[in-house]
Amino acid sequence: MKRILYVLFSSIMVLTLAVACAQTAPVATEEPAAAPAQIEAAGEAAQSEEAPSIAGKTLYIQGSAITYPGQEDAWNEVNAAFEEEYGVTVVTNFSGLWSDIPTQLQTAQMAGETVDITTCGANQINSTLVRAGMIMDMTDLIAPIQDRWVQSTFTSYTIDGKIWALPWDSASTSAVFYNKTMFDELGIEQPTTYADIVAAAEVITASKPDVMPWVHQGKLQYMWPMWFMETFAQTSGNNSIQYTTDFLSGTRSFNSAEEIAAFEALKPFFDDGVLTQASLDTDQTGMDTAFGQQKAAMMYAGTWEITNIRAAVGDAFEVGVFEFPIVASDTSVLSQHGGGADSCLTVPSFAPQEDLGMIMQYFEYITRVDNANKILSLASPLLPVVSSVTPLDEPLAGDLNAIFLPHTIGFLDWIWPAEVNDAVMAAIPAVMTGQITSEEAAMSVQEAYDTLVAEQEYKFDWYSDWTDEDWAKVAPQSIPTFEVVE
Amino acid sequence: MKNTGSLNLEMRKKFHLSSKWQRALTAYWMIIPALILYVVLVIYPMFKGLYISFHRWDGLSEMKWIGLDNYKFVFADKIFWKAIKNSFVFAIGVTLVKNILGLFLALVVNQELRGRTFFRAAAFMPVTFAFVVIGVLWSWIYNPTFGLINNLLQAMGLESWIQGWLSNPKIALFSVMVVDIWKWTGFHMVLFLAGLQGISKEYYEAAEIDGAGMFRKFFHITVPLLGQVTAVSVIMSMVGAFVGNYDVVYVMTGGGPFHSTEVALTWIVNTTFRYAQVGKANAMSMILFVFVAIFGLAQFYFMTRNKAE
Repeated sequence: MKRILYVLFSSIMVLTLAVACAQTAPVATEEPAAAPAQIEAAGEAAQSEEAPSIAGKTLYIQGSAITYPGQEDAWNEVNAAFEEEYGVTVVTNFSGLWSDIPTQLQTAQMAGETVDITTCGANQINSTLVRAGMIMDMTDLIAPIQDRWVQSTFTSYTIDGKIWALPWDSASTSAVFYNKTMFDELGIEQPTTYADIVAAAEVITASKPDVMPWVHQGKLQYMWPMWFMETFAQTSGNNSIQYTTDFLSGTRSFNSAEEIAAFEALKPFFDDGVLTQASLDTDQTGMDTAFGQQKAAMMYAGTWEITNIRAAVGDAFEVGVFEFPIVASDTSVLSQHGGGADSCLTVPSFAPQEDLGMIMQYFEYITRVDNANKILSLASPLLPVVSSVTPLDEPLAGDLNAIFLPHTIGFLDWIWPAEVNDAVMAAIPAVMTGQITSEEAAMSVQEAYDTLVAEQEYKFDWYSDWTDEDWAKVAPQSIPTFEVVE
Repeated sequence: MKNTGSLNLEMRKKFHLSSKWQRALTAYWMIIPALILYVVLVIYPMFKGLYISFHRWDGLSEMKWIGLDNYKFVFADKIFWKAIKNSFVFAIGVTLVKNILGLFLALVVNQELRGRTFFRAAAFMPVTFAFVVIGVLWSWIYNPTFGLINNLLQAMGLESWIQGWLSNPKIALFSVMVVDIWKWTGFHMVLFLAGLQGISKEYYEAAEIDGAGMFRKFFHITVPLLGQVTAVSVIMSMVGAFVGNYDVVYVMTGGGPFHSTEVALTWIVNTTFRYAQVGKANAMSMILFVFVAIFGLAQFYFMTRNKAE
């Protein structure tokens, strides 16, 4: 009998192996999408028809946890009103980190879950999601309501002339926020160069030993590349975007003098006591709290942080801003900061095609004047992405608009693929704390790129290799009609 | 005419076999639901992963056969081998400490002490918490500015001991190991406690009569008689440490700083979901499986060898 059972269980194992190897990758079960010309014709025909009813449907929205105070309540209020007006059930799931969104999407797709809309970041759109075919081409879908947005904000989400996401929250720039009251008390002038920063740090450390001169949310690894972008903008003679494009196209090495100098310019921040080890263990909440409780005199962040800073500081002290200091030997370079429309709403390519009408109606609804202001006013809209949103009434707005925004360029991590981005992320604190040299840091990034090319056949202009079949997988099969309320 | 006696004997034998067959079959029917679950959730994914490891696949588009290329990529992946090294350091370190500490605590709470029920419960309580909760809790304990440890050291005048517990690449991994040890020591204490309570007091009484002291009783009675429990405890903690460290590392450090706390699981998950290299990630999983299997089998062999002899 033992022999019979042995044969039986062995057969089960072999059968399982055969089944596992017999199945192929998931293949789209829906009918092939229509060719572009057919879509256009279908769209035109659809526009002339009345918007079909979407009552009884369920809209699934997912994204990272909402960090702006009060915004989740605003979303709930607008969603409830949408449900009442259109008879749709809205199910939201805002959880996890912003950096987990690609994982969430991939998991949902593998599990066969419905995701109609997802929040996202420009970084993820440009570096990972679109090239992986996970995002739907929205160019024709949003045509009826595209004019509700500030048109320049679409730049961050346009690839190969197509729009892949809708800018959301607010456009941003990066700045150093500082405790102006403390600076005035200690007689410190607003810094412009790195030498000024070191001098300020020495005064602060001597007068207030419990106060960190500068705190950064270094525990969040994805917040480190901003530092490199600032220094690289300077060491490249304000050519960082072009140099990055050249690097990713394979015509420039990351091991070049300018990139190495950019890493080298970061090390003194730790060596000179401007940054301390504490920054490596501090997250966003810790950074805001340390600054608000006057345990840190300066912090480097984006303008998306303004609402949290105001909440942390209250009336305790006056907050000022200055540009990232000049660290390059050529002091004629500009201090340039990463920025743009950071966040977006987009439609996964695996969203049910029959839901597109409901999805577009939802986008139309949340971009109506009252609803857009309700949600986006809580996102520190220094530069609103939706035209009808009232800009933030913020004392620093004048300086930020007049000085910082003209010096704002796109974040490099919106262009870098994930592997390169992670290599830069890991290298920066390692250089700053002396774990590796600047040359080793640059080499590690170049190796990450070389590995990506060798293993994944990475190509910067990936869309040039896409076939009609590839494009069909991310295109809407038809352009739905939806109600547009002016 | 057949001998009635021998006929009865034959019938008894036949009946005996049928009954044995029936009892065995009943037992196997009982485990079939669990077996089905095991095949579907463990065996099938394992073979599927092996199949995928020979393909380039981003999880969405069609798979492309590339043979052993993924394994070549993995063997050339420096971060993967750093993660494997960290996984071994993690597994061996926590296994040693958890078991030694667990045995020590079991010996203590096995005494007739006032409040020993409370101490048993207190030691076991962290086992019931989710790793995510523990990870967040300990992240704040380790916080350099507001954390309990650094503030306590400062209050005690030990500023020179203040560290970046999770940011210093030299100690970050050990800081994470402390959390794992804190969570699971209570579980191993319970295992050893059960083993201790299975040892007859007569052995100790006899040893006392022969003049044996505390240490001789421990090494010559307690340790040998806890052999099986120790083997189970060590194997469980070793295998668990290899394959159960993802949550705590992800929540506390994300694998940083500079991959100093990267373990095999975090790198595999990163490769799968962040880099969309599902084929390569499966190749890593297969290699990790081989390592754990060899390690586990060797451990099992050495720990149970004396019994067989």
